[in-house]
Amino acid sequence: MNNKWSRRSFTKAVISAQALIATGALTLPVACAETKKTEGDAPLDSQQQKTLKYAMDEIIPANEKMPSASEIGGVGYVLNILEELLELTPLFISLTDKIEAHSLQHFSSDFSTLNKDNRIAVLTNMEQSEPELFKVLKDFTYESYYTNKEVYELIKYEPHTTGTFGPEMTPFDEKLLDRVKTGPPTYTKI
Amino acid sequence: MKDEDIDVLVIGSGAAGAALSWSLTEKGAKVVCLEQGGWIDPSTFPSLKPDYETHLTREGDFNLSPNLRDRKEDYPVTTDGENPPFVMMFNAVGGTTIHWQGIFPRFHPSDFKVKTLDGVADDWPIGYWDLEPYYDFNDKMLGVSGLAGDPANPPRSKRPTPPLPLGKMGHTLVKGFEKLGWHWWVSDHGIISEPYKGRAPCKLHGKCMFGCPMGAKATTDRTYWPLAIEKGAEIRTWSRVKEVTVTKEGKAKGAIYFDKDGNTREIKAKVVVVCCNGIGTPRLLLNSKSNLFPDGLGNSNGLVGKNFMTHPTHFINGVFEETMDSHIGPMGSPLFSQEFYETDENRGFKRGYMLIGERTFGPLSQAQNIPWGKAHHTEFGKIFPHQVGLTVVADDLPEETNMVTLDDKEVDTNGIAAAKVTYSLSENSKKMLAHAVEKSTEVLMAAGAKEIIVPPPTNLAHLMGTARMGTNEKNSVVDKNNKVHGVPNLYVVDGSSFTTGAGVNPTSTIMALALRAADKIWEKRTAWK
Repeated sequence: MNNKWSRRSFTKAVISAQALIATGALTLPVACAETKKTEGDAPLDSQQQKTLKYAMDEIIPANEKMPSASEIGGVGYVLNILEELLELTPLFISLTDKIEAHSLQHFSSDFSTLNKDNRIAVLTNMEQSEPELFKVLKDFTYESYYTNKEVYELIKYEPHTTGTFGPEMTPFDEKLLDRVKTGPPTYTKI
Repeated sequence: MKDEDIDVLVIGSGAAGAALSWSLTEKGAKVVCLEQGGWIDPSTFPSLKPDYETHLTREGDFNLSPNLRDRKEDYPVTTDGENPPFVMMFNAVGGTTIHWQGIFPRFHPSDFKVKTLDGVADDWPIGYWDLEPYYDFNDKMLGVSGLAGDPANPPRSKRPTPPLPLGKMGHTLVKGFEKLGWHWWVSDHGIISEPYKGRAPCKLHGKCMFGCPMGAKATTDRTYWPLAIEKGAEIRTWSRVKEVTVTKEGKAKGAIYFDKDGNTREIKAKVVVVCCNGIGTPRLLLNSKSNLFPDGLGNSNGLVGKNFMTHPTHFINGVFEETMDSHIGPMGSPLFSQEFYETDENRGFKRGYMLIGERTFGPLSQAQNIPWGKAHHTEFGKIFPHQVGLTVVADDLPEETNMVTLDDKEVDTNGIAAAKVTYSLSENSKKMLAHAVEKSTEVLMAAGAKEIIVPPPTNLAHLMGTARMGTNEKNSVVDKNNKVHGVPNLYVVDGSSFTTGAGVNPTSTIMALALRAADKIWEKRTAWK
C-alpha cells in the first residue's frame, strides 16, 4: 500500500480503473501461481521441498477427477510466497523439520519414503500434537489449491474478478412479491 | 485551510464523518477532518485478483480485522469475555465502508422505544420519524437500490435505483419463504444498480467486501467526500488523533494528533465531532484525560465504553442437490425476512431478529471446514456450489458489562493505548439465536435443502452503543442531538451513539444520524466562538 496517495492521484486512478473495467480490459494475474524458483535460490532446500510435496499431497490427494496439491504447483506456490514474505520461511522450515521428526520417531524413516498410511499417521499425529503448525500446512495447501486456475476450471468456478465483465443475472421480478405485498403492515406503528 | 479559520473539526472519515462533513460544508461551515489512514488506491483492491479470498484467510493488508491487517494506520483491538467478537473495521478515507457489504436496512419505529414497548434497555430520546427525512435524503445521495412497499417497514420513497438481482440462491430462498407464507422482501443496498450521479452501476462481480473499484458501492470516498472537498472541506490523511483537548472552562478546544511523520501537532476548532466508530470513539474519549475530565471526556458518569453492542450473528447453510452458485452476484443480501423482528412474548425473548439471504465467498472460504485427506474432494463436492446461506442479525440489547476499555499493555504505532473489547452474549440473545437457528432450518428445508449446517455463532462486530444517546445525563453520554453531556461543543456521531442496536445492519442509521447531527450543530452556530 502506497502511503502517499493524494486526493488527486486517487481521483486519477479511479477514472483509469473505471475506464479499463468498462472495456473489460483490466485483469490481474493470480499471485504466486507459477513455479519460478530454481533449486539454488529457493528458500527451502530440495529435501524440505520433497517433504512439503508429500505432505501437501496427503492434505489434498488426487482422485479420478481432481489433481493433488503438488500436481497443480502447490510447492511452487509456497516457495513464491516465501520469496514475498521472507519472515514465513522459518515457519515452513520448522514445519518440514517437525514432519521429518515425527516420521523418524514413529517409523524410523524419511517422510517421503513412508507408505501412504504411515504418512497419514504422521500428519494425524501432528494435527493433534502441534495443531498450530499443522494448520499452516493445511491452510497454505488449501490456499494454493483453491486459488489455482486449473482447479477453478475443474470445479467450474469463474471468479468474476472486478476487472472483467460480471456474470449474467436475471433482473429482479417484482411479481415474486405479490403475496407479501397484499399482507397488512407488520411493524409496530408509533 | 488555516487552523484559525476552522469551524468544525471532524475526527474520522467513514460513514458518519463523511456525511456530516459534507452537510456542514454545504451549509457554509469550514470543516477539517483528521483521518488516521489515507486514500486507498482502487487498483490495489483484492477484488481485482482471482485469489482475492486469501485476504480473508491470511494476515495481510486487506483482512477485515485490524489485528490481522496490521497496517500502520490500524490500532490493535484486544478482546475478552465469554463471546469475544470478531472485530471488523477499516481505517482509511471512507472508513469501514471500504470493505462493507452495503446492506442498507433501516431501524423500525419500535427499535427506538424498546423500554416503553418491551420493558427492556432504554428508549432513544428521538424516534424513527425524527430520522426518516435523513434516511430518505441519504438514500438519494447514495443511490440506494431496492424496492419500496415492504409491509414490514414504514412506507419509504421510491428507491433511487431498482433492486439488484436475486440469483439462483435468492430464488431458492423465495421458494422457502413462500411455502411457509413468511415475510420476505428484496434488500435495500448502498450499491447502485443503474448509473447514478457519475458512478458506474454494479456489474455483479460479487467481491464487494474486497473493494469496489467501480464505485458502484457507496463508499464515502466515492460519494460524500468528493462533494465535500469540492465545497471546501479538507481531509488531513495520516493524522492520528491522540486526544481531544479542552479549555480551562471545559469546552472542546481541538485535538492533538500525530502526522504521517510521527510529529505531534495541535489543531483548534470551534466545534469538535468524534466519528471514530463504536470502538475508536470510546478509545479516544477515554484517552482524552485532563484535570477537568480525569476519567476521560464525557465520562463523568462512567458510561463511556459501556453497553457495547454487536450483532450476534449466526450463519446457517442449507446444502442442496442442485447447483446454487451462491458466490455469484453482489455480496451481501439479495433478500431478507423480518417475520420474527418485532417482540412476541410466546417466543421467550424480547425483541427479534432479521434473516438475510447471504451470498457465499468462493471455493477457498467454502473449503475451510472440509476435512483434509482421502475424503476431501467428495466432501468439497457436496457443498460447492450447493450451499444457500441465511444470516441471523439479532437485536443485541445493551449490557453494562459488555464494554470497550483501554488495554493496559497494547499500544498503536504512535504509542496510544489500544482498545479492549469485553463481550458476553446475554441470555436474551442466546434464546433469540436458538430460535433463529430453528426458523432458518425450517425455511431452508422448505426451500429444498437436504442438509443444514449450523456452525457456532460468530459475533461479527457492528460497533455500537459505547457513547450512548439518552434522555438525561445519568443514563447516557450524548443528548438527543449527539452532543456530549457536560461539554458544550463536543459531539459524538457514529454507531457508538446508538441507545439500542436493533436487529438490522447499522450503516443507514449511522448516516441518517450524522446528517441530522449536522443540522443540529449548524443550528447552534451563533454559539460558536
